[in-house]
Amino acid sequence: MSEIEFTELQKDAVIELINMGIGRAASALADMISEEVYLSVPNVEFTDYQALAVHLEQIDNKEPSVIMQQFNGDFSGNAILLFPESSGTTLVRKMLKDSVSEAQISELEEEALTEIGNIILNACFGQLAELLSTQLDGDVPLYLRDAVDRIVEKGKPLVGNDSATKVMLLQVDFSLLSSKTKGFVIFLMDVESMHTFRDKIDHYLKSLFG
Amino acid sequence: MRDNNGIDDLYQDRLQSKEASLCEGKAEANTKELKIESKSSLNQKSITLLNSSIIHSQDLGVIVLDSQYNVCLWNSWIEHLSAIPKKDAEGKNLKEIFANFNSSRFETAVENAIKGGLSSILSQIFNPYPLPLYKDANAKQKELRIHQQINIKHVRIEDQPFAIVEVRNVTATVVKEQLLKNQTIELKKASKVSTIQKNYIQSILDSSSEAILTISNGGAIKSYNKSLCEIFGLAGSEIKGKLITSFVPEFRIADFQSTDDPRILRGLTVSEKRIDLDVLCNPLAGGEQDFVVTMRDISEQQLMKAAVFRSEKLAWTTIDSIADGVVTTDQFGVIDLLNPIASELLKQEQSELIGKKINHIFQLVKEESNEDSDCIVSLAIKQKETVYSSDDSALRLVSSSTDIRPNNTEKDNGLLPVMASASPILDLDDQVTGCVLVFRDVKESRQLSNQLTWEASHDALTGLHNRKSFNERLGAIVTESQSAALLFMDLDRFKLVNDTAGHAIGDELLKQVSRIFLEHFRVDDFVSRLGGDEFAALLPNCSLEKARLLAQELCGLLEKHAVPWQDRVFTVGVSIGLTLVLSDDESTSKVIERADAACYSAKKSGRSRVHVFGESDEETQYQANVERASQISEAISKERFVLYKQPIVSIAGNERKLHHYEILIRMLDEDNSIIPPNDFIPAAEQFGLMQLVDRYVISKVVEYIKINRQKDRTFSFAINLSGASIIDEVFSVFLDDIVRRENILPSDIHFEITETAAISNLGIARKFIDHFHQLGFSFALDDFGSGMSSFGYLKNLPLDYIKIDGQFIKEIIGNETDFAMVSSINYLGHMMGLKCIAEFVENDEIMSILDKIGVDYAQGYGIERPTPLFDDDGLLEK
Repeated sequence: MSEIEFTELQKDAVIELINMGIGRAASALADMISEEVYLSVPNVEFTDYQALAVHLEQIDNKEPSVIMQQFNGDFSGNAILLFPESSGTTLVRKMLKDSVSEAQISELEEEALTEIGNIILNACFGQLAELLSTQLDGDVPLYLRDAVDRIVEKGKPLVGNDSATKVMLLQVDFSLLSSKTKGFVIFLMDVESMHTFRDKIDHYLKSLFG
Repeated sequence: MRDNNGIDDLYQDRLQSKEASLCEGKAEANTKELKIESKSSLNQKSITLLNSSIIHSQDLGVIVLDSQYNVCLWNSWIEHLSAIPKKDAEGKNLKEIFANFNSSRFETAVENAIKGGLSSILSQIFNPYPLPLYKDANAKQKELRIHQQINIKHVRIEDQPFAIVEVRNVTATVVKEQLLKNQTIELKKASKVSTIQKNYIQSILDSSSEAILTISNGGAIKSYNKSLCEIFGLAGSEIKGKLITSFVPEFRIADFQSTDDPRILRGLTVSEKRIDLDVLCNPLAGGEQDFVVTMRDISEQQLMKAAVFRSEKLAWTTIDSIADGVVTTDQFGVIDLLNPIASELLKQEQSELIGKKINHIFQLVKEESNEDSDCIVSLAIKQKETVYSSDDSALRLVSSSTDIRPNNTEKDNGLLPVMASASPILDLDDQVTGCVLVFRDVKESRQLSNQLTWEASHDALTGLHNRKSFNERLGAIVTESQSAALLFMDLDRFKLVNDTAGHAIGDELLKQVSRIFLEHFRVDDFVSRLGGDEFAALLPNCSLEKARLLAQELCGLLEKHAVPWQDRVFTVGVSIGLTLVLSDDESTSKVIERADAACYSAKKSGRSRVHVFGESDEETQYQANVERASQISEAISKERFVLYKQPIVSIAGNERKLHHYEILIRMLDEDNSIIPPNDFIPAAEQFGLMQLVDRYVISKVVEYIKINRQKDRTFSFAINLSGASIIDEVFSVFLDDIVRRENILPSDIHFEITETAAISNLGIARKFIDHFHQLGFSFALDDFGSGMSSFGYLKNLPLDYIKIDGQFIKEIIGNETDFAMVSSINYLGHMMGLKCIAEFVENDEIMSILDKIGVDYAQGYGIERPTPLFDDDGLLEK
């Protein structure tokens, strides 16, 4: 398959769509913790799958927490929400208003963080499916904490080995309880799904502009 | 909104097959292996049964909801924990099953699964108890739900969406985590407490001014406080691990093991300064081989100690070496310390005195009376101020025990005259902590002072009271209106003794007389020597008759008392004037005047007599003189005198040529009427005013001479000088001075002196006359022939004129005796080279007789009456 490129317009559309989805997630989270939560996606980046590990290591070269959720539909793949370093733990504890600062994350806290990821990712899936007029089934989310390369490896079977495989990398800014933190949403799709995704975007853009 | 009827129908029709397919789908997630295997070896029914049993035997709640949200599967786990049987649940939605079901998150997730195909996870933390599930009935009653973790999955069977709800009981995990968390919190708290405690202890240690440190048994410093750094000038980083001996070289743990007492060791600061340290070292509690060391910098303290020692030493060295006795006591008067002088004065060893109460050692008494005085130590302590002993204090040792040295041989009954002061010792809070008593042996100085006091009030020669003392005593008697007799006693013929036998015998005589006086008068009588040969005796409570008797006896005693000298024997008499001190006497002067007058009378009426004031007229005259004398004083100060002149003319040849003028003086009374000389000169003589009168006259005559200097004057003035003046050296100086200063020439003035004036003190008179005679001034002997005139005087004195007494002149006519007297005086005078002047020449007849006799000059009313020296212009009349 040939290289898949996204135009600026397509990227803008992606950012817009994801922001809409993530907005829903924010209100869902806010409901849960009775506290205002702001989420935004300031940019999107498409990068080679091969370079993903390197790229992620720049964000966190240790063991980031990730919530991984498989999605299936017209385009399929793995969506990963990555919290660099201990920001995931911090986020959970902030949300729980728990002042105990322990580097170690407990089993229940892992689950809580998974639910947060699940809400965000589900919101993305839902929004994308709705606006791109398609069906996306989301699997149960998984919590992982591991080295970057092994996380990337875990997402791999669904992606395949095509060197043209692209990865969509979205930065998510969290803002709650007067503290800010950063996360990243990564969409791992095989080339075919990525094409379909792009086509859907185009289709969406057409529907918008007639 | 759903159509319930439609769903029910569908459900009724397809329940069986749906459950089977559902189980198949469910197995996909949980028992994939089993399903794959079963496809090959088991029939469909078996698989359905197997799956069903698996679902129900899972330790997991499984609920399947169909697209209409109704339960189509309700496994036995759920059945059990919800206590709702499957048959009651199936076909109903959750809100129908659970009356109190209310979880929007759960509902959203189910909706997402069924409508959106999205799976959700409901974490226990954010959704603790979405479903009303209970461990048992008891828990249900208490509404204690199990902690749940729920996955809601989407599944699609035969194009129908279903939601599979998996419920896990995570209560155990929650409890476990809570436990862990609590433990963690406890641990943290503990660690925090321990940190706080550590900081607390450290800040306590740091606030100590002592250096506190722990060391290993090898001497390496393990911990320390701020003061260690401050004392040694160390930076904190340098200390840990260092050996304590690097700051305190002499430090040895072993030295402290046998003792709990601090040791004073020398320390060395970073700047190599040597400091003194008070060091304690004890094993640290807790079993380790560590020691806690405390060190206090006592350098300053040591310096202060040294300074205190020095100043104390200085003080005591000073105190030991001064001549005063010093004793310090505590606030109860118990002796702390004393110096050697104190020990000597108190006649006990220092060691014997320390610890004893000071008033058990000695007491201060009044020297005269031996009466106890107040204890000045107690007073000083009580009054908190320095107390001085009275001037007549003496120290009396309390001889309460035998340790006082015996054989007190001092004749002064053991009293030591002292001067003492006691000062309280105050501490910083102004509280009395003791007393310092300083005392000095003033035996000698008090004797000296007593002697001086005695001398001031006594006559050195006779030991009698002196005039000052007499005046004081008389003053006291008058002031207090005591009754007393006063005797003025004047020795007769004493002058003769003095002049003939010399002062030594005179003095001896005075002493003997004084002894007789003292022996004769009573003990309480107050005998004084007023000066020269004048004495007084004050006899308190003495009647006039008793006093008279005493006085008369005294006259007799003295008459009989003879003082031998060479081959002669002197006796002196005494003339005594006696008066009583009267209750209406207001001043001593009145009393003295009376006694003086009485004495004068006694003397006048023949010597060796007693005269009581008021028993003759003498005193009235005397009193009159006293008054006159005060008039004279006033007249002198106000110049209420007028000078007259009377010419003396030459007789020879009847020419009556003016030779010179005699200056005469008259006093003016308040009415400016003239008082003749006879009325005031005796008073002036008696009260010693004659020098002043003479000075006045001389001054006026000199003034006159100065005014009339330019005029051609051929006469001189004869000025009368009283006996008092010519024996007064001050007067002599005055006259000498005015003569020289005003350039008065012998041709301007000459002097007349009387015979009595000349002989009363011949030696001094002679000196006076010689002196002025040598300056060229002439002298005339006045009233010659009136008294007990001696031609011998004429021979001895350098005279120029003789004035023959007027009593021979005024009655010379027809009186042979007077004629012979005048003739012989004139003859004698001429023989001696003297010119003779006759007074009282009242007529020409007398004049012619005098001319016949050959008298040189004449003076009298017959020639010219006296006329004022000054006219209204202050010039010479005529």
